[in-house]
Amino acid sequence: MSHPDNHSPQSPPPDSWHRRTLEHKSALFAVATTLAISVGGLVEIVPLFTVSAGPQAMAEVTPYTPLEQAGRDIYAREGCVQCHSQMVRPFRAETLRYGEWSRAGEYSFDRPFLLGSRRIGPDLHRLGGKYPDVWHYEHMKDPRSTSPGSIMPSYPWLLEDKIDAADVQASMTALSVFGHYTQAEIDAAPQAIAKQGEEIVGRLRQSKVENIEADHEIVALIAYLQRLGTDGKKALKNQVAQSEGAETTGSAQ
Amino acid sequence: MTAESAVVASPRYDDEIVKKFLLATFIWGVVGMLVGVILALQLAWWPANLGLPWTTFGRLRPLHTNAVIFAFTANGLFTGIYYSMQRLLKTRMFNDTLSNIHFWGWQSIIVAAAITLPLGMSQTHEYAELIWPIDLAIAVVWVLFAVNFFGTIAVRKVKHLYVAIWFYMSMVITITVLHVVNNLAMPATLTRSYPVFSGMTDALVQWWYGHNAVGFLLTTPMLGMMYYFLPKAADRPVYSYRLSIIHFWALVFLYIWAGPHHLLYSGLPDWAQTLGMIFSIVLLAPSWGGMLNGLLTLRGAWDRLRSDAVLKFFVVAITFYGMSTFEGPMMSIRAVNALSHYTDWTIGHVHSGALGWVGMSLFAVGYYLVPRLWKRPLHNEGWATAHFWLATIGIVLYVVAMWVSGITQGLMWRAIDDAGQLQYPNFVDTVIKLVPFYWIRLGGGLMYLTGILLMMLNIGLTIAGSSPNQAINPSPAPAK
Amino acid sequence: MSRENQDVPMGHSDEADGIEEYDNALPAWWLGLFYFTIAWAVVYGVHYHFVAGRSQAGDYLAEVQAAEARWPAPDPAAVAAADPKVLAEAGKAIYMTNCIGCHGPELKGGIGPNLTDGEWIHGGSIESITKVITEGVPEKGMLTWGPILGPEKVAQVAAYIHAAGGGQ
Repeated sequence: MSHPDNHSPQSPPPDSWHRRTLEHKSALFAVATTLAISVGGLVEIVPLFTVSAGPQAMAEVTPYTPLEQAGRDIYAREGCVQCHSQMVRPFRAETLRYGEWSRAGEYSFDRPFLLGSRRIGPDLHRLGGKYPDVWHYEHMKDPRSTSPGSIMPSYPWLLEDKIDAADVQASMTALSVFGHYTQAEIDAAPQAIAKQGEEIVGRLRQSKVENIEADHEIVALIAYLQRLGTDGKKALKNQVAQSEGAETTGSAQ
Repeated sequence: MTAESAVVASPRYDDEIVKKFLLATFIWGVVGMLVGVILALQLAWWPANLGLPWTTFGRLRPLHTNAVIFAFTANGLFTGIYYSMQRLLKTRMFNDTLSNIHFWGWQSIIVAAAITLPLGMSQTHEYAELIWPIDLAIAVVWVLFAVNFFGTIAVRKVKHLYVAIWFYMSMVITITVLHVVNNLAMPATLTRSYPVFSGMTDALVQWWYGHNAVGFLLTTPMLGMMYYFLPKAADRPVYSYRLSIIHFWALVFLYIWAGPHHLLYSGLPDWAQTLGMIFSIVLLAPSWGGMLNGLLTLRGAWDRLRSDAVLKFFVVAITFYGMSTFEGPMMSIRAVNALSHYTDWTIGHVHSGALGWVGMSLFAVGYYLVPRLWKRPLHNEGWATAHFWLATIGIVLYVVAMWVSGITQGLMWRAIDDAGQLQYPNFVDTVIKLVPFYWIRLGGGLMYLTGILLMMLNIGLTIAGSSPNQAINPSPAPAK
Repeated sequence: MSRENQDVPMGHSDEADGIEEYDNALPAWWLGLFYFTIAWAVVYGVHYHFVAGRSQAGDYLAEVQAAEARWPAPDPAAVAAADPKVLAEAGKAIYMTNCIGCHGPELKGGIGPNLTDGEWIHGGSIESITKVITEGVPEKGMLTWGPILGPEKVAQVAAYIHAAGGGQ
């Protein structure tokens, strides 16, 4: 390719270091690229596996019950995370609206994490215990009956479709690799699911909900939603109590 | 250049694979954008969720993002890479069978994604939703592509590697690492698995992946394509070789660090958040290095913008690249992110990148390649110009609507009344306010979709309509 | 540096499918921008963590303390002294945005109990209603509205419910 505006009679420059070393040696170029892209990830991610730099564990935070885990899988399946975050940020406007801001240690058993990236609907991390079970039931059936103006789709199939205890046990077996469950807990899952499910169904029936069984998907989802953020709230309360206790002891000395 | 163009006719280069990838690019592009338009409608008018499980927003949004990233963009990258690397390295692809396995394997993966995502089979990691058997298939196909890629480099007939190849290489390497690490999981059933990492660690790994999928799929290989197709289309030399060296190494080194800016004010340790923020700021200049090398390469060719659709698309693409790589670092600043995070501002930002930079670049490459691959003039140049205006105005409507709606909602969330309490305690109030902007966004998206449909028609008529003996000389030869 | 911005071709176009490259100097403003962002990044990081000693938890505490200083909790006596009619009028809007999900737009109930039937499960006095709204009834699903609305708005909405529901 030649150029009419090529006004310089100078000869091309000699090959640069970059050209001689890297552009002529493709393997070396590939190695250099691999090194360049490795540093950042290693520096940022690896420290999280250490005790001091990683999330501070909270004793109050425990794995989800089998029914809650089933509900969490439904939450994942329906893509709730596409519109709802589970991360209250440390701003007063957020804690006024949602409750305590979210700490890292609260997510220890969140596989996968469900922090979300967009709030088309409100944050759900402190949802547990905020509304009665029947509110969730009605809200899933028709969001506009409980939240006039909502743009959320209705989820009528959750009121009819059923969960399968064997399927929940398969999930628990996979999660047991990471220490979420013991074999005894997996074996007892059908009973645990029935027991927690019946409690929720009992409350729903009190509120005049009919045609509801303990193995309906909505029951599992309610169990999960009512658990959200409650361990963390307990842990933070205990921390406050402890530090107040320490202060009292400190001032008494 | 004359010789190079004539070579297209010879069996020296495999252009059949390029044609296949090109058609797949725009067919999937239509699908991905159509789903996007449906999602936009669902947010403006919720009954469009249709009351069916597989048509709800929560299940369709991953289909939209995956279709646009892995079907439209990735096929577009493969189109440009297969076309340009054979010519840059003066050799046919290393192995035609690998090329075809790559093509059909990749399309099968997309079909599998289009079936499983609406069925609710999802890992929930953004842009890594696909279930583990599909992830395995992706890994296999990607590695075969890598073998073909590095094999072609190994048998090249030139000594040095042109800058476009560097950028392609950074994609092949980095995407392999990201995909494998972020999808490490324990299967429970054939369609469900649980990730090895939990909680904040899982979140950080995911956004290390998510941010760099943007970096090394939507950005660096696209820059590589710019470095090939822009000087070709403009018939101008690249502005600065040393700028390309500096911004290449700066980008590949710095990009990786910026992932934590997706997790500002989360449970991530403060130091990791700070690293994500400051590296995002430092990314500004290297990103603009690519923009400068693109725009300054056009010196002396600006007059051709009036008549040449390819250059029009490129100029707008590069401008949007510059705009969104300025916006991104700004949104990474803690104080700005406090307002922008979780709002539509983010949605507008990714679309100025995806529709503006990626989409417009791929349209440019498409309009450049179709006459050359099928060796006949484009059916209708006027339609290409109409496509350009539809797409440009569509993006502007989209992005401006999302800025307004994002900032509006961000401000409403934090609005405090005279008594120190939330001014809008009912969340729904902050949603209803956005609906008018959702209609505007839908209008912008529809314009963009109309544009690509016009392009498809243009491509189809070009291929079907005129006979090859009307062939033009695809690149007018300058005096040698 | 004698070749700066002279558009001298590198002469490698035969190795790049005919694409020629210049080796023009890096634009000074671009290089300046790059150096500036690097310097800024270092200064910001050092300042945030080591000079100012900031953290997101600390920033949050400071924000809350500033808010407490600016909007001290209202004097209960002043709230009690306010005209119930004025309070109820302000409370209607609060009720409509926050309470209708469970208690209905006409206070006839739904998920939550009817507030117009004269039956007051937790007492129908203004004090009892205020207490239920502030503290909630967690076992029945009634939210703890105190921290969400603040005492002033709670007093307003309690006055509204008391008036509209015919409290005792």
